Amino acid sequence: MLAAMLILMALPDLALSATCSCAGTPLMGALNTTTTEQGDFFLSSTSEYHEISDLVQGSKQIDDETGRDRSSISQALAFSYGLSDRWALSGLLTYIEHEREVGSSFFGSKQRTSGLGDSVLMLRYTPLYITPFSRHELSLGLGARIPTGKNDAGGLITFSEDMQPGTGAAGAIFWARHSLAFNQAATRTLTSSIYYTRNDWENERDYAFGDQIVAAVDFIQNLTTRFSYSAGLRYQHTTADQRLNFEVPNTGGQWLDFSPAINYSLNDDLDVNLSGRIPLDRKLDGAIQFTTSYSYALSLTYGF
Amino acid sequence: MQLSRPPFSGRSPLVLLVVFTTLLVLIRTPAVLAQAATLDQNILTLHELKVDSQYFVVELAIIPSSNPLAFSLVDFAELSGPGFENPNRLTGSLLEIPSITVEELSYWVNLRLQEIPDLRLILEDFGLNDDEPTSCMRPEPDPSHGSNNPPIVNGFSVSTEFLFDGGPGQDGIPSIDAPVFERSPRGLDDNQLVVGVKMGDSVRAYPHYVLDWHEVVNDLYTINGETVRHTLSYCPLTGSAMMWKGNLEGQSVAYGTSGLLLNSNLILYDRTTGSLWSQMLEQSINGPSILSIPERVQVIETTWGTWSTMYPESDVLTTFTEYDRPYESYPYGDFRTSEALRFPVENSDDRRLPRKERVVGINVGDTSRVYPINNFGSGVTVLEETVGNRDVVIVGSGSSNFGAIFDRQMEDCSTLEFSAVVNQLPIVMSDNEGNQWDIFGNAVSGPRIGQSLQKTNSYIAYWYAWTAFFPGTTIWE
Repeated sequence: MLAAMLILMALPDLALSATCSCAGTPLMGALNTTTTEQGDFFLSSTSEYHEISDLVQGSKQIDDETGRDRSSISQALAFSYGLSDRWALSGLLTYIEHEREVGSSFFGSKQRTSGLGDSVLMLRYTPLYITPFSRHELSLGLGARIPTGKNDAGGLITFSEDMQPGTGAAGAIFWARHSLAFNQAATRTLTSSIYYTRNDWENERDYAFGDQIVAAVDFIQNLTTRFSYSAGLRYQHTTADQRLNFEVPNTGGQWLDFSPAINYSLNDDLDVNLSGRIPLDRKLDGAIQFTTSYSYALSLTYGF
Repeated sequence: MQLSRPPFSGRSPLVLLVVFTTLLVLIRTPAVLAQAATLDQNILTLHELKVDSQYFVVELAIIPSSNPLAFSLVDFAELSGPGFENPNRLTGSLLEIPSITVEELSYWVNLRLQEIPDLRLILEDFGLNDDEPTSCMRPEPDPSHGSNNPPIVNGFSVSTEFLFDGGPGQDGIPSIDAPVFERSPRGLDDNQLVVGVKMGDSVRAYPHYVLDWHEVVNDLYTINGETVRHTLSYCPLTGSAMMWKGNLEGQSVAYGTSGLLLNSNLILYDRTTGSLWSQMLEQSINGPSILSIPERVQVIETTWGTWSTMYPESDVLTTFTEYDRPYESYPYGDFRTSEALRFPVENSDDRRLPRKERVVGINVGDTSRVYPINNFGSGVTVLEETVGNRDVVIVGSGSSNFGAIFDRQMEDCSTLEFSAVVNQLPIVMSDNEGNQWDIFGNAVSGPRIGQSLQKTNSYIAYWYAWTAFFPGTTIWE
């Protein structure tokens, strides 16, 4: 059961873009939303690699003869604590590294930034559980992205927003998840989730990231008591970023990803989870955007 | 450069070395002179040579590696009469050039005609003219806010407050290094903007819709038989276009996009030293070449309709660029028509004009002034104004969508008075001496035919960018 819960946590990969929509550092994928009972405490550590080197015009991938290589690595430490049987508190601290290299650059410069990323705090309410008498579970969440991240990386010359570890601005988070168990033991479940991030606040450079909606559907099956897998679809819509209330060109769009994951319980308290994201389709705003090529994440979760 | 009068026969090697070095300077210095003799690259032009009672225009070429320096005859033509007060003279075998200006200094030069075995002229003597000044030649415009020696802080000659990483990284916006041109472009309608260049025998147009995606074109021009690299840059965010001669301390140099922006304006880097160059300041702001000023070439930004009317045989940059880019799309959304700013800029509260209003501006020291293109109205408008310490002529047209600013004072220190010429593009002005001038400031008829008006630090840009770089600018209403 814990494995199924943990995979629920990992699968939706609901990215809270730390940057523009094409170069997001996903935070929510690492947020622990495990269903908890009063006093339960889960701690998880997630490492995610995010390759952002596809050059896309609308829906069409085009050649990038500049040999650009852009990636982000995030390290996240997340917790979830059961305040009661229905209320839980989740939190997330991150450390972000960005790397950018233009292969055709005459002097071949590679640039890196790193630093503390933004944090997330979310209060969750679970009015409905999967039990032997109910095959439905419903959770709702309300949270905030806290701009704890470094947002002035670059020293003399400040890097662009997508290379900053943090957004420099707060955001509001609305979250909901429904799970349906196909059998009484809940070894097969279908999970639907939706996630909305609202970014009404600008950072010090008058920049505000676009609002984001992520909807995901995942099928999860426990093959054994220790091993489970899942496969799902993830849809994301992001509005254009803004500077001084004007849209920033070449930001925003729609993405459809395939998101597989496997989960293995090393013992009753410790789970390991490997998940990924592969683009299926995308329709991006503006003329061209660099966007996600793929991503994968490895996480360890310990339940106290 | 100070020269003493050198002897030329039976001289010591040291003296000959000084002379030769000096002549190399003469040869390599890109000079455009309004006197009766001018030296451009390796061509010495005698605009007027008096032989007995006849007058000729003569072109001589420096014979490479000759010592003493020798010239061969390239071409000549008879003139109808005198035009200069102090012409060059051929008396017997002595050709006297009374005045030739190099690096703001005026020299006299004597050549000796030798006919055996081939007709050639040997440098016999030269020296500095005593009477000052004999020339009003302007040095390369200094656009550095009137401050020739700004403080260098952390390696930069500009404040880094409005210096940002644009996102793509160095060469992330790829320059065009092997441009392909065609004569009859497809898909270029009359309203689309192009950057036009006329140099040597080449007339080329660089459409915005290509430049929007590349920003830098490293091109080659053949001038007087010599192929010279030039770099055209265009910043879509500030609407400014420049062409610089690709020459850095005598070395050919190419430029690329640095990925950085100053006041939202393109910063180039050179691929020889890696120095950073602000496009709108037209100056290196960081690196080994800091404070260097590139040699600029006059460009004309206008619509394809106007350009193709003026130069129907123009070559046009194509989209065969080796890069897969959607050239049919403008990459910055509604940026060029909205009030949006892409990056923070200095003086962004100056809203006296709409931010994206295209203006032709001039900066002289601490003084700057702009002329909105749309305010020129229909036909051709010519204005004579004083900006800073420069008497300038502004020529523009709202309906034909162009604007350019030149110095009214000629290199011979005379100041011309201009009036508009309509319906004769590319001729746009005439003057009180009876010359007609084209849009590039070249005399195409009259006594000064072949001469050019002196350059100013002026170009077209969006208003918000101009006032960001040159706060306190005044506006011609």
